[in-house]
Amino acid sequence: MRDFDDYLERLRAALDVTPKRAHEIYREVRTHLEAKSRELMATGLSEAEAVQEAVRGFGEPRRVAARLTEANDKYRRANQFGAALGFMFVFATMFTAPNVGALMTGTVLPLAKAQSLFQLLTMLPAAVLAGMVAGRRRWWVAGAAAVLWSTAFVMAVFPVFRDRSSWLPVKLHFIGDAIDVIDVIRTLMWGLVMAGCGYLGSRALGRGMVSWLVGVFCGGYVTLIGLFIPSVMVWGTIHVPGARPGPLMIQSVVAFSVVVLGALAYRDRRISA
Amino acid sequence: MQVDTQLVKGTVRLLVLRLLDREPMYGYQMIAHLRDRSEGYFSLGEGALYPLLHELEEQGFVRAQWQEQQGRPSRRYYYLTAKGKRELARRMQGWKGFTKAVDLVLEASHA
Repeated sequence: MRDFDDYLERLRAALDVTPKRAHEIYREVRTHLEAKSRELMATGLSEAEAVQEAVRGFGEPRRVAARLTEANDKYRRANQFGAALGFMFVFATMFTAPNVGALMTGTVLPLAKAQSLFQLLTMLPAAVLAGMVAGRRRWWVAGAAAVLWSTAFVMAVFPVFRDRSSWLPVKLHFIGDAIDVIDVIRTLMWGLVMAGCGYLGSRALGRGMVSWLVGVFCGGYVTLIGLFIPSVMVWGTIHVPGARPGPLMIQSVVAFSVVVLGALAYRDRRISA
Repeated sequence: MQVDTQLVKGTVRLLVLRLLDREPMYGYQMIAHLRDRSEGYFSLGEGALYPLLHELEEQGFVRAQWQEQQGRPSRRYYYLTAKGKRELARRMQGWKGFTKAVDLVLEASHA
């Protein structure tokens, strides 16, 4: 039943549900196709013809997967919450930072005090990573957008950070120096770009996206995040001695790529039916 | 015969709930029942049934459970929940009101 395997793998690759749910769907559809092909063989078709007919009758796998994804996603509040989480943290931190004012202090103060700015920012990658592990592409897209938004915001509010090198956070880890909030955000961006490369690779090679992304994510993003989290936890590490000006063009390209990749990933999960 | 697809779409949900009200079923069985009992009128697309079932499951109208079969692959049976029964009753009432209204209009047109 090689045709079944091919069909089911294409279906599974196009699903955007939790791995557990994807496995259940795979199993259920396989059971259905096997029953259908048995019925067709009883009418006189050969096995190959029956398999082909059963697969054809079920529909184009990407379209079926899109419908199944929507059916399994539409009413799940956790997904919406996960997608919103990145933005919530960005809002919580930005609007309670002492230099910015306290527009939302009254409502978000219990969640995010000004002193917890760095700690809360570290929860952004945690939310994105949780989304990746759960197979939720939307969380990743939301995280990317949130990082982009926060970067633009911080750069507008703190012009002093504009001429910092993009690679500085990575260098700083190896020379053991301190980092600050803009370095954290830029590091997040690089990680997301790496995840985006994984996404493009998955699209180009027609392989399952989640496995690609998780691999790239763990290899690049998590390594970087893991390196800087202990530093971030040390409150007050603002000064970065020896920081040298870096090209603003790189920042723009990186920021733009995050938008493009985010849009591509989001379009990929939309229902085409 | 020309079939109004929008009307069929809205009706299939009601029919699936009604089928499950009688007995738990698996997907393939539901398709066969719908086709046979409607004398081929409801020849539901297979790729369309499972999204519908999963949607009903997400909404809590049905629950699903794998059942072992002797010498055959397990099947995923769907059961109507208490919430699903209420939804079925609501849809049945709506359907009866709809058909009654249509009949009234059609009969009036003949008169």
